[in-house]
Amino acid sequence: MNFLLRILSLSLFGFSALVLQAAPVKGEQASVELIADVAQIVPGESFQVAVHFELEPHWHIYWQNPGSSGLPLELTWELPEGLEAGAIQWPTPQRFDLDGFITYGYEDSVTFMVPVTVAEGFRGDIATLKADAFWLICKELCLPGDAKLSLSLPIGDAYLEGANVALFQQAVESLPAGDVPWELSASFNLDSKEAMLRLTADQGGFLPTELYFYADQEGIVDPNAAQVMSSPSAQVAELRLSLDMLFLDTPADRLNGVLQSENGSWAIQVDFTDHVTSLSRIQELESGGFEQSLLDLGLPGFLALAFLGGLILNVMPCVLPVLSLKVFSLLKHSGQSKQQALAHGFAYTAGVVLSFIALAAALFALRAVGERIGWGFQLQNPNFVVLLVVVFFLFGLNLMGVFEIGTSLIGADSKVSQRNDVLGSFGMGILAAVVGAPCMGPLVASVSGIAVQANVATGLLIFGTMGLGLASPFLLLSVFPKLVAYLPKPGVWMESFKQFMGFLLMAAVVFLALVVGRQGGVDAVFAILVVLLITGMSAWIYGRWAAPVKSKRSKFIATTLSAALTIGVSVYAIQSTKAAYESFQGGSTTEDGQWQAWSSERVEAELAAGNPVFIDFTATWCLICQVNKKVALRTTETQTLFEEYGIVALEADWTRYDAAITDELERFGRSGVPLYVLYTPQGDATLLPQSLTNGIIRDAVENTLK
Amino acid sequence: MKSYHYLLLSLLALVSTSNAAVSTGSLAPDFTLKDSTGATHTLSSFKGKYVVLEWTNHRCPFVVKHYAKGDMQATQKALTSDGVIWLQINSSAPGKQGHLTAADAEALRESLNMESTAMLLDESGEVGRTYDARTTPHMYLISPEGTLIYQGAIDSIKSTRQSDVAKATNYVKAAYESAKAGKPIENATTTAYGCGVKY
Repeated sequence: MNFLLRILSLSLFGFSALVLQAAPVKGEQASVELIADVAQIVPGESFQVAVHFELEPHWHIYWQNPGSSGLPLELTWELPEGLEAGAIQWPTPQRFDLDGFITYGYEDSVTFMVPVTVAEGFRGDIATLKADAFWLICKELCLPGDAKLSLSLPIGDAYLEGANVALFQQAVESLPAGDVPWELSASFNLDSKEAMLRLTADQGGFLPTELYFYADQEGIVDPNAAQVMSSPSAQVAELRLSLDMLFLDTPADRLNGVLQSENGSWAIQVDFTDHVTSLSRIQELESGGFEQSLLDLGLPGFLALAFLGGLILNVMPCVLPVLSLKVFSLLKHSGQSKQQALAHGFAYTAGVVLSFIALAAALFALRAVGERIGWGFQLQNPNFVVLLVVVFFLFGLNLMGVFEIGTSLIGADSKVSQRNDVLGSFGMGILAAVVGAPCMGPLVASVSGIAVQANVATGLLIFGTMGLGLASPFLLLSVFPKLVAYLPKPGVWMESFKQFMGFLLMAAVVFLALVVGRQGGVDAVFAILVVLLITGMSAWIYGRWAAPVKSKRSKFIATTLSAALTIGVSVYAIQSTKAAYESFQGGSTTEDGQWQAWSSERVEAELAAGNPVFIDFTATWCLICQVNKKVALRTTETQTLFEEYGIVALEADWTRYDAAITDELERFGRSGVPLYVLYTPQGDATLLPQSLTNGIIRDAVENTLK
Repeated sequence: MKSYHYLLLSLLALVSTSNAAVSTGSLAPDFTLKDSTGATHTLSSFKGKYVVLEWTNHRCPFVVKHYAKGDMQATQKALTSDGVIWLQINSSAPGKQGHLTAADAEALRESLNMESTAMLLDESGEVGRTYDARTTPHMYLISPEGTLIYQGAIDSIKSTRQSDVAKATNYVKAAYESAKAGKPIENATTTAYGCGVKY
């Protein structure tokens, strides 16, 4: 390409200085020229050279990060000894959108400046600077371009302005500025695949209305995703960036790049502060070979696990009374036709499965509108807990024989009551599903976590399967009535057993009172006690004056009165529980001994101080959490172990709704409690299994902290 | 007003299933496409085998870099002779650079001695957008279990210079060899380089 090079000599201001200037080189869809901001090189004084591009209309070349495709300009220097070229100073780029694929670059004309330092002892008459330029130029299609550029400058002893000062002035103006007029902070969340850049203006300072962030490296921010700006307050603007694939694999420590607004652009460098722990590796201890091997199977494994989890729910204290009652009715009606048994079986199953799906759908819908909730969220809601108390209590009284529902005296099988029974079976199914939630067993926890993270269809499928597992024992009995023969023969014992089941439900009421008390204090418990008193009374009225032998008038009055009392007191209780929840100040976390309240700041502080941290994500209404607490977490053995290793024990109590805890659970791919996390001081997290023993904790601690 | 805004956003997100791209380590989305001979290929039917997806456009200089001296063909041959399924995918829309009819695609395969299993035609760009294929070439490696285990560039030197191929690390080959040996893949996600896919 040297033949294209013409050397012009000029004499300026009467000096004998010789200025040698290279002419533009014609490249692919562009002309390229190497220029300098000085007319002669002065030893010891650095200067700027630049590669100046004039592009054909609509063709563009690329910034240092080209965006979704393209290549940045590449320069290879060949300089005389004593001269040294620095890095390309990239002007603020602009965006090119090709069918939704965004690239970063320049069109029309652009000047890439490169600083050159000159050694003190640099001598000679003329210095020739050579650069091999290589670039990619694109319109719709892309063409590689290259040029051998050279520029010869005389060496003198005083500064002499170059001929292209105006171009250099422009080039300097097109660079991003250094001092950002806002205070910046950045955070990212690997689960939502988003980073957040936050700008805080000084008092009275301005905020931009348009913002765009160009990451100076590929693979950090997805160039094709829209960047959404919001302003949560007059002083703060937030820019949400979608993280790119590479970042999700290997997160960076900071955001480097150019921030562009309508008022200018700035080169910025912001360290990620929040969610620093997201940088850490998360290791999950295998929670038993069987569960893990099912999880490894993918969807079929999730479904098998969901089914088993549902099946296990049947023997949990909250569901057992419902199931046993259903089995009893089957025993009682062992003479009934196959179709009737089937109808009951399917109605019950439908009740269970539909309720599970409805609960899951509610969960997904609420999450879709931005509620940060997880599975088991019902029990964080006072409405739900109060209604559950009423249902449990009435159900228990019913089992104890305080009142009978409808006309269904034992053995009285009118056609009407059979139809009601089918509906009743459906209702029982709903009841079983609703009361089953607090008893969610160990298998369910991990699979419900997966279901909540999955897409809606898969999630609903998993929860539906869980319901099917819960309903399956009764369904099996009704499909194969012959199996009933293997059950104990009906007899008086059934009545005693039923009454005993009543106590199981009363125990459940006591448990719910504890849940409410933890969230609302004495006032909330008082409201629950009033509910029990009045509901008990209305049950008594109904049982005494609405019995089938009573007159129609008596039945009517008794039914109306007891219904009114029950509804009235429920409304009262819901309102006062809510009020109690809101005014309750006492932290729900029990700060006993070495256990202290969790916060993400606390975790970061302890890790920064070099302490390992153990976190117990728990809730009062989570039975498995309480069991783990008793048998493993709050034992003297674990206490000594933690002291020995200097582990800071933190408790995150999710009994009440807590957005920060919900976020943290999601970060570990969970939708609910329990979750046990052990952090090494380096920030690596180990997740412990859902069922703990002293041994499991000891092994985890010794293996990760040795 | 704000919460209404969120509702609208999340509805939109549900409709458009927001993040089109596939994370490394997650299940590779299934697809069915016709190849240059008219035969139909479905990704899930290759379960049990490693599958390479190569987005290509024969007129893109980055693709030319890898085909001109037979480098890509050699990689294709090395892997397919080892039982790997290698699917080239052309997502150029009709009228755009690199678009090929079935007959032209077949002719191209022969003239360049391509050693892939098949060249699939994705005129609508649907499969390309599902995988968020941004450049040609843009490479993906799928495990026998159907998990995406590599995505990104063909090799480590971003250029159109043919001479760089020999100096570069071929990420696809490296990923395949690590996976086959049961070792973790060192660079499981890289940033693809090349011309934009001409959707």
